[in-house]
Amino acid sequence: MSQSNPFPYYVGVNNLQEIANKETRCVVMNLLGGESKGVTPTSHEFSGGNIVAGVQYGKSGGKLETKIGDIPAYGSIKEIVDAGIKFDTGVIYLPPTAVAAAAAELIAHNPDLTKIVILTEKVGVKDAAFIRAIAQEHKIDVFGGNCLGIGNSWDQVRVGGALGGNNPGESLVKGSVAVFSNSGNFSTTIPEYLKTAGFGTSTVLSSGKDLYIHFAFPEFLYCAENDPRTKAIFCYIEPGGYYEKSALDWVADGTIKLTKPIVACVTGRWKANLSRAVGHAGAIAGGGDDALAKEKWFDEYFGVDMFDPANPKASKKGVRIESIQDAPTAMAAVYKEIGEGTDFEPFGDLSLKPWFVNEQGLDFPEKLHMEAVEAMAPYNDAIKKLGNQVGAQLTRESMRNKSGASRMNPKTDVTEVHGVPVLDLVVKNFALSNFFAVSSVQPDEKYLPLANAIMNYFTALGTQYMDISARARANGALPNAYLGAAVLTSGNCKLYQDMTEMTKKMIDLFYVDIYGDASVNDALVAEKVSQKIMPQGETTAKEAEVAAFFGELLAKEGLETIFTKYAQKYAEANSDVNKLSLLLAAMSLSVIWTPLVDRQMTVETAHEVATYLACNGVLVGCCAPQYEINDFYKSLTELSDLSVLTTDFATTCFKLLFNREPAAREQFAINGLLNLLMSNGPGTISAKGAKESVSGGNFIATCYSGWMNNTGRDHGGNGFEAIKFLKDAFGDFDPYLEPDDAKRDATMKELAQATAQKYLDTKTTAKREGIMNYFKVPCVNHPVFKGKPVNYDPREVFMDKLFTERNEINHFQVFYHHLVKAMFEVGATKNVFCVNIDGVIATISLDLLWKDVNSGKIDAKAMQDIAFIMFLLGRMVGCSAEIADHKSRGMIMDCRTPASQVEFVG
Amino acid sequence: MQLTGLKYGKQLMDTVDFPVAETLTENATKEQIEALIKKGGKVVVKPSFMGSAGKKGKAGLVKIVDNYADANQARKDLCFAEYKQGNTTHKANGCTFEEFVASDAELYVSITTSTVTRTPTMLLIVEGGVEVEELPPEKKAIIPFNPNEGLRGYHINDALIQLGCPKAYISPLVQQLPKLWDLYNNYGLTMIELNPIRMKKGKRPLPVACDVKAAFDQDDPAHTRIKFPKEVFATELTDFETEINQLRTYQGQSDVVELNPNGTILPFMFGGGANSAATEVLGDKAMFSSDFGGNPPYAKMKEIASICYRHFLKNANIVQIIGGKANNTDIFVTIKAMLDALRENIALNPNVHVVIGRGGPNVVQGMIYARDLLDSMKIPYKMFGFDSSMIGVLNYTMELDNWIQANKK
Repeated sequence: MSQSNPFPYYVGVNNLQEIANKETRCVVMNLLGGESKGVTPTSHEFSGGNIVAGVQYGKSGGKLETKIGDIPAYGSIKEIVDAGIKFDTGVIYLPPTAVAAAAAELIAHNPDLTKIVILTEKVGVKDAAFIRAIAQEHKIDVFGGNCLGIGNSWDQVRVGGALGGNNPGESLVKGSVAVFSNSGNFSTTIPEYLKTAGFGTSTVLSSGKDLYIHFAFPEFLYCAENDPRTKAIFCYIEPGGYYEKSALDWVADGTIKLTKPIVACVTGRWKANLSRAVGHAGAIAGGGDDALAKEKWFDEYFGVDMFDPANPKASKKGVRIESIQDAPTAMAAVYKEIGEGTDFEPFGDLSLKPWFVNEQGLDFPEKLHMEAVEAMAPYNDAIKKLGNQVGAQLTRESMRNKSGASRMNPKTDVTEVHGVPVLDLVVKNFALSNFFAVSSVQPDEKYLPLANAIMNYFTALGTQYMDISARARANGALPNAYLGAAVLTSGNCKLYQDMTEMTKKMIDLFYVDIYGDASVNDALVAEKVSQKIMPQGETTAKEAEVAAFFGELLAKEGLETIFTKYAQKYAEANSDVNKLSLLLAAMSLSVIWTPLVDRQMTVETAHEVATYLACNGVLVGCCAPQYEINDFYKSLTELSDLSVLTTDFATTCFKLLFNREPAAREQFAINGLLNLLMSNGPGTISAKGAKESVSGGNFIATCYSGWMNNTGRDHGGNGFEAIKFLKDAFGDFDPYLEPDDAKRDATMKELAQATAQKYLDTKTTAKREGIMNYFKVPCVNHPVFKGKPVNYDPREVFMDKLFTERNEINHFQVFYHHLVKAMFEVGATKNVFCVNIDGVIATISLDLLWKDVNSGKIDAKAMQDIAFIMFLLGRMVGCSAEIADHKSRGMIMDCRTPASQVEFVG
Repeated sequence: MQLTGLKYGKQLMDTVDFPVAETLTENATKEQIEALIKKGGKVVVKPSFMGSAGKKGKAGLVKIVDNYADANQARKDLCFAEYKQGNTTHKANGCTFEEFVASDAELYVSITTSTVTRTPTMLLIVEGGVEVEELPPEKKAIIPFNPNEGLRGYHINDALIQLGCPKAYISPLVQQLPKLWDLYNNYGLTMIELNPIRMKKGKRPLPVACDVKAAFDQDDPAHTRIKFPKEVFATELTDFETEINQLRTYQGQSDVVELNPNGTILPFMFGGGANSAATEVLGDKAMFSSDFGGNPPYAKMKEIASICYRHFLKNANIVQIIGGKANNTDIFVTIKAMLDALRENIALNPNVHVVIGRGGPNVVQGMIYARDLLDSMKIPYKMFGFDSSMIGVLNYTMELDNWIQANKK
C-alpha cells in the first residue's frame, strides 16, 4: 500500500516505477559530446526511443544518429520548448562547471520538467548546493551527480547514463529486487551477481557518490516500499554522509514505512585514514560517518550479525554482507526468511572461471593452478571469433609529427628504429634490415640466405625500370628524382597486388590452425590446397626457373615453412597462378610470421610486406651509375646464372654503385653505413615526405616517391661537404699508398695542423671583415656534446671502437681526430671539439670512394651521386618503417597543418 | 585539501577581514615574540601540521608561556613534534606564536554541508574547545540555511538567543560571523571551523578566531583565489601521487592514493566500487589505491600506467587489473594501454604475473590483446570475466602473491 510522502524536503516521486518508465521523455544536455555520443544511442534504442531531443550549444540543427531514428540537437532548452517538444526529464552530460547552469536552464525554460539526472561526476559542492536549492524550490527531483543512470528492468527502459553498458538488457532482467548503488559500476555488476541466485531487478538506481546525493537512500526506501514490483532491496554503500542513518532512523521511528527487507553491503573501512577522497568525491568520512559507523547502523537495524555464507542467516529486515560476492546467497536467505521464491531459475555462478590462462610452464600448487574454461554466452562466441584476429591492434590517431617506428632518444641523442639504436643496427645484415623495418623485430639470423635471395630477386626485377631512371638521369635529375621516378612508375602493379592478396589469403587460411607454429605440416597443406583461392596468373619459364631455385634454397637451408610448402603444392595443383609471386609472398610471410603473431606488427603491414621489399628492389635495381658497363648489373637483369641471387645484399648495393667487388672491410663498411643511415628520427624531411604521402592515401610505391621527392642536394649535405673538405685537405697525399704507419700518421698530423691554421686564418679574416658566413669545418662540434675540455660524440666513439676492434683503420677518421686537436692547439676553438656522427658517415663514404676517385674511375659528379645514393638506400629502409607505421596508425589527411597554425607573411 | 592552525589560517581569515589572533611563525625574532607577549601578557605556541591534524591541545602540544626563554624552548620542542591520531602519525612542520586573547568566553562555530538536510549548515556552541559529539543537543544550535540566501545575521541572532549567549556578545557576533559564509561560499570551502573563538575584552567585545580548520573542494577552482603558498596542499601528496595528479581530470580518471610502496601487488582499479572493494581485500599488499574508471582515452591510460610501472613494477609480484562489468569504459582501449605500457617497462621486472578481472564493452577484444601480448613476453596470467566474483579474483591474487613471496624466500 502506498504511504503519504513523509519527507521534510521535496520528493516528487512516490514509487520506483515513476522514476523511469515507458512514458519518460528525456532531453540530453551536451547530446553530441564524447560521452553522450557513445551512450545515448544505446539508451534510446534499448528504451524504444525515449530521448526526444538534445542540446548542443552552438550546434542547433545537428543530430545524433541512432538505429531507430535521429535525435535532433537544438541550441538551447528554450529552442526545444519553443519547438513544441514535450519532456519531463533532463539528462546532463556537461563538464562539472557547466552543470549548475544547465540545471537552471532546464528549470527556467521547461514548465513540464519533473526530473533532472546528472551524469557528471565531481560537481563542485557549491554548485551542488545551488542545484539542490533551486530544484527544491521548483519541485524537481534530482538524481546524481555521478548518477550512471536509472534502469527499469520491467519496462526495459534506461534513463541517463551507461548503466548496463552497451547491452543493458543483459543486466536489466525483470525481477523483484530494487538495487541502490553508490557505485555506477556496481549498479551493473550487482544485477549480474543476483542473476546467479535467480533474482532479477525491478529498478536499478545508480545514486552517485558526490558529496551531495540528491536522490538518496531515504527516498529510495520510500519508493521501493511503494513499488508493487519490488520484494526486497539491495544497497551498496560507501563511507561519508548520514543518508543511511537518516533513512534507518526514519524507518525506526515510523516516519518512513518499510516492510521489505534490505541486503546491504558497506565497504571502505580502509578509507577512515584518508584525508581526501579517492574515487568518489563524497566517499570521505567526516566524524561519525565512516564505513565502520555505517556497518553499525545497518547491523543495529537488522538485529543480526553480518551474513556468513557458510551459515546463511538473515532477519526479516535483512542482513549486511561483507562484500558484494555474497549478494546472491544473502538475497536467497532473505527471500527464504520472508517466504518468497526466486524470480527465475538461477543461471551461472560466481566461482572463478578464467577465460584465459597461461601459466608459462610454472609449477603452480594445486590450489593456484587453473585451466581456462569456456566463457558464458555470448562471450564464448566472441572469443572464438575475435581470438582469430592476428597482428597488433593499434589505435588510430593523428600521426603528424608522431611515429611509432623511430625516435631520437632524448637522453642518448641516438636515433632508434623500433626501439633499437641505429648504432646497434650497424652490425646487422642489411638484407635482414629490410624486413626488420616493416616487421619491427629483428628476424632470426637463420633467414639470412632467404632474405638475401629475396632482396636480390626484387633488385633484379627492379632493373626493368632502369629505362625510366636513365631518361630522368639524362635530363639532369638528381638520384632521388631518377630513383623516385622508377619506383613511382611501379605504381600498384600486378606483382604488388598479387603478393598482397596471396599473403592475406595465406594468413586467413592458416592462422587459426597454426598460430605461432609455421613449421611444415603436410596434412594441413594437403587439406588447404584443395581450396582454389589465389589470384590468377601465368608463370614464365624464367619465373619457374627462379621458383625452382628458391625451392632448392629453402630445402638446402632448412627454411621451408608451411607457407612455402603450401605455395609449392598450390602451384603444382593449379597451373593458373604465378608460382613465383606466390612463393615470394610465402617466403616473405615466413620471415615475418613470428612478429606478426606476437602482435609486433599489424596484419595490414604483413599483407603488404612483399610490396615494401619489392619497392626497395626497384631503388637498388636502378641505382647503378655505370649500369651500361656493370657486369654485375647485367647478371641481375639476365639472371642467366641464378647463383647471383645468393650475393650478400649489401655487397649487391656496393657492386652496383662501384662496379667492382668490395674488399672484406668495404663490405663491412657499406653494410654498416647503410644501416646507420636508416633513420634520423621521424622529424626528418625524408620521413615527413613519406608520412605526408601516406596521409594523402597513396599506394606504397607512391609513398616512396613522396619521401624521395622530399630529399635533395642538401641531404647528407654535411657529409658530402666533408668529403670535399677532406679531399681538399689531403690534396695529393694518398694515405693508402703509404705503407709506413708512423710516416703516414706524421703526415696526417701535419695536414691537420695546416688545415687548422688555414681555418683559423680564414676565421680571423672573416671576423675582421664582418663576414659571418665564412667556411666552417664540417662534421665537428655538436649542440649537446660540447663544453668540456675534450669532447666526444658517443656515436662517433662507438663507431670508431667498432672499426678499431676489427683492425680496420679509417685514415680519414684518424685525420679528423688530429684535426680537432690541432684546431684547439692553434687557438681556433676554445676546447677540443668532438667529431660528430656526420663525420663518421663522411669518412666511411670517402673511404669507400677514395680508390676509385683517385684512379679517375669516378669523377666528382659521380662521387657526389654515389654518396647521395648511399644515403638514399639507407633511408629507404627507414622510410619503409615510417610508411608502414603511418599506414597502421594514422588517419586520413592527418598531416595537414591546421589553418590556425599557418602564417601568411606576404 | 585541508588546513589547520593559524600559520595559514590567519591568511584565510584575513581574506574576509575576520578578526584573528596575531600570529608569528617559527622564524619570528626575539623582538617580535617579546612584542607579542607584551600585547597579551602571554603567548600561545603551537606546532603546525599540514592537512587535517586535530586535537593538538589534547595531545599536550599547545604551550602558553609568558617569557621569551620559555617561548623559545617551546619552539624547540614543538617545531618537529609528532603525534598519533588513529593510525596516522602527524609530523609538525614548524610552529606558530599566537597572540594570547584574554577573554571570559569562548565559542565554537562551523559551517559545513549536512547530508541530513542536504543544505549548508552552521553549528554554533557558546563554549570553546569542546568535543562537539559529546555535548547534549540543547547546547548546540544547528542551523541549516538556504545556500541561495546565505547565512544571515538573523540566523546567528536566533541561535545565540536560543543558546543563552550573554547579550553583550550577540551584536559583535552577528556582525562578524556572516563573514564566514562569504569565505565558505566564495573561496571553494567545504568546511570551516573556528574552535575556539575568544571574545576579546574591550569596550566592545570582539570575537577573535584563535584556531582554524578548513577544508577545500578540490573540484571547485574558487579556492585558488586565495594565494596560499604551494606547499600548503602539495605536501599531502607523494611523488607518485603528484605525478599522477598532473593527469587528473574533472572525472577523477586518475585518482590515486599511495598505500604501501613496499607492497607487492600493483593494482589498477576501475570504478569507485572496485576501488573500495579491492583496496579492502588487498590491504597493505596493494602499493596504491586507484580509480582509473571513467573511460580514459588510450594515451592518458598508457601514461598513467607507465607512471605506475616506473614507480612500482620493480617490486611487484603481480599486476592486478580489477573492475566490475564496466558500463562505459572501453575495456579494449584501457587494457591495451596498460599492456602496451607494460611491454615498454617489462625490463623492470620480467618475472611479474598478471591477473585480470573485468567485464564491459569490448572485454573479449581486450583480453585477447592481453593474451597475445603476455604470451609474447612469456608472462604468466589469468583473466577472469565478470561471471567470476570480483572478490574471488582479488582473493586469488592474494593467495598467488603469498605463493610468489614464499618462493622468493
